[in-house]
Amino acid sequence: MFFNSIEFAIFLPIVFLLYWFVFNRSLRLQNAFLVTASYFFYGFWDWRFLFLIAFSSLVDYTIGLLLGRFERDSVRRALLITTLSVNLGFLGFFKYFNFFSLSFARAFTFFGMPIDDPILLEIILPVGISFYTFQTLSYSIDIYRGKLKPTKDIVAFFAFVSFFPQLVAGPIERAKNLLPQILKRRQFNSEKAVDGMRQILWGLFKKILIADHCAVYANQIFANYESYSGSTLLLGAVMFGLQIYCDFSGYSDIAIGTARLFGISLMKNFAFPYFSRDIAEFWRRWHISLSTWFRDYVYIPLGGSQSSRGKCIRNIFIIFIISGFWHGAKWTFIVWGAINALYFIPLMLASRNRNNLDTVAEGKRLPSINEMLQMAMTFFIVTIAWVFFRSPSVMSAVEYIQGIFTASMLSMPTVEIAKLDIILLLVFFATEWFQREKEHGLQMSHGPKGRLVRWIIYYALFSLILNNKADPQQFIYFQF
Amino acid sequence: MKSFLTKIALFAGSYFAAFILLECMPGNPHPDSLHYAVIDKHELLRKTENQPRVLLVGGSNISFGIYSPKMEETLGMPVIDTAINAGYGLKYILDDIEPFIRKGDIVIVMPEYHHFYDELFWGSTATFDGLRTTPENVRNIGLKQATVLAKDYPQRAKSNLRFCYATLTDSVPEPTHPHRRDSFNANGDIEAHWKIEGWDHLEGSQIDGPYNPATIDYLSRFVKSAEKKGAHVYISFPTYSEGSFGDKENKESIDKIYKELYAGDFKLLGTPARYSFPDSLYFNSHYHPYKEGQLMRTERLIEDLRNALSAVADSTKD
Repeated sequence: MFFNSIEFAIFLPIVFLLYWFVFNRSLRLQNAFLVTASYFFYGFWDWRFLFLIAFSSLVDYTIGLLLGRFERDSVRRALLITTLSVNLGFLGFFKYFNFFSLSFARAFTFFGMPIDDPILLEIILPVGISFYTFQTLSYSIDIYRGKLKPTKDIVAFFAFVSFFPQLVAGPIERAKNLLPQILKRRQFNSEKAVDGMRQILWGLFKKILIADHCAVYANQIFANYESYSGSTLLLGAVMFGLQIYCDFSGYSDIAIGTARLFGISLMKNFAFPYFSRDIAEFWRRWHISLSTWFRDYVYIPLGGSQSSRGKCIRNIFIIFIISGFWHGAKWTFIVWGAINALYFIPLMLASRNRNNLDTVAEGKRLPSINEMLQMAMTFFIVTIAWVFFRSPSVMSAVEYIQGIFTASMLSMPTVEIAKLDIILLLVFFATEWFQREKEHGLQMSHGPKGRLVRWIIYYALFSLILNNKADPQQFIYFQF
Repeated sequence: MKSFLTKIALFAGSYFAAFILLECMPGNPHPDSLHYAVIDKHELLRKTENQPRVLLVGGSNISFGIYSPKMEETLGMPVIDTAINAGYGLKYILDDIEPFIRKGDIVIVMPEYHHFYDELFWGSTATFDGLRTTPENVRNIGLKQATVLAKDYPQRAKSNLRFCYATLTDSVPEPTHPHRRDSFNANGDIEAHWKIEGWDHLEGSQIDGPYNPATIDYLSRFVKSAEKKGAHVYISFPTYSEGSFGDKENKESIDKIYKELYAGDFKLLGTPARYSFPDSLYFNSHYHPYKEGQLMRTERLIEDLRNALSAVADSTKD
């Protein structure tokens, strides 16, 4: 069930009403209903996936309890290895088996030992497996590290793993944040719910009117990149950059807004990343739940930035390459990760990776020329890296980028952007810019003042969404 | 909670009220448009219900692509072309015709290939035009169909809004031939396009989207129900321009349909290739042939039907 589907538009109000009016008599009942609704939501794709998520939840619930009971290091380590093996084993099998099988076959062929018929499995990648695997892992790791106490409430734990707003594409929640909210009786907060609705509306706007519209241009240009001028290829890359941002952050906005309707606060996943002044700031603002996950569970245990310069560089490469690989079993994602590491390392070596911790032009209407140039440069290098993310192979990405850096980059793009799309992009950028210090693009003051303006905005956005003509595209991050 | 629900209800309710209000406005579709031909077709079906007939069921590939007087003359029984628009969705079309089927009728269903892919089986914005002309058909709308139609409703509302504005400013455009109610002949076919010129460019037609198994399931249900009434049901294929038919992906999609129908034990008339003609014989759609194509297809259908009927007669003799 997609967030931008009619099925979800029917599902959400029904679940909302049952949650607050029928199953609100006890916390356990409400949580049991949350699990049922979440499993229905997830099973809508393929009911067979439910066994996998249920098994994964059961393993981590049990391991969590055992970690809480045993104090001996060797036992605890064995338990941690068990959960890591089970969870990463599933992920590896479903997501990476064919990749490794093919890569080994190619490697053997390269060394003169050809494998003509590598073992390949016809397996469907369960939706959201990368997201919920990381979520359950964080629970067990935190208990192992003594940062979290295990829960005995199995229903609450299952609700934590499967909570439908963030189940298939994040934000990847930490047990420390989400579990206590599920274990506590929720109170409906009208103000938060209204803001949640606004965030859902903004998310739908970004997904349906920006991402899906940009996808049309990006798909066209990437599909025939050999025949386009440098400027058109650059336009295609920019369009993909906007598509992926609006697609994924739009999804996160809908997820966070939906969770608010159920009295649950999810972590922020995007913080206006295209207004970043350097790549380090970009990575603090992009897919925050994944970046912080890797920081806490991979980067810091490896020594982080507190080790020798060589090790620091190694750690940066590891974290970015794993991050790329997390997105999918393709060399293009790995190269994309490596490129971002290359962008990041000079900043770290110059100790300038924590220069821009505030919001750009804080308290001001417009940025300075210097800030504008910094943002444009960051956007440009991020866009170039996106070419690898979007291309079907590393070779085609290289050719695409070579195509950009030709004399034709200075010509007018041959693909024309529709006037309506230009207007929508301007509205989007202006809104994001003026709201950059807020939680999301439509966060507004609550109260009678300005009510008319607010309602006009709601009607305008909703009407535009309803009348959208572009073909609906699947959320990009569902494939991860 | 109360204030939140009030706000949501007010917001959703205002939209709903606007939709209802627009739907109640007269004019969409225009009373002279081809959609209103359904009234004449239903009337014809009622008038002839005491004798066995040939009923042609499907979308505009039939109304533009079959010449029923020729069939009537050759077969010696009334032929009624019940088709108007494939956009109604095959489910809607079958539901609409089912109550009119009588014992002894020969029903030939010729769905467009697009009915087997994506969601056209369930309907499109055109279904709302159908519902406006035949409101009683609303009782046939199922939950899944309603879900699909709900997605198309904003477009319908926009069209209603345009019509409403045009009515207020007295600028409602008259429908033109061949998309008018009076473009149909006494049997229900369109002849008005025979003399229309200037359609020398056809955009490529692509059969998109995933295969929809619901189409075959529903066809099977329809066949059983009609046969229970004592009718004979045949499935045939639409006429489709060679340019589109020859497209590799389209060909695969059409092959899939043929295989599924064949495996489904339907009584088939002809093959998809048999009803595909050169692009020059089509005018504004790859399903809409000019006179020459319309007559060629009619002759082939007559031949295929005759063969099928004589095979039945032979097997009865044996």
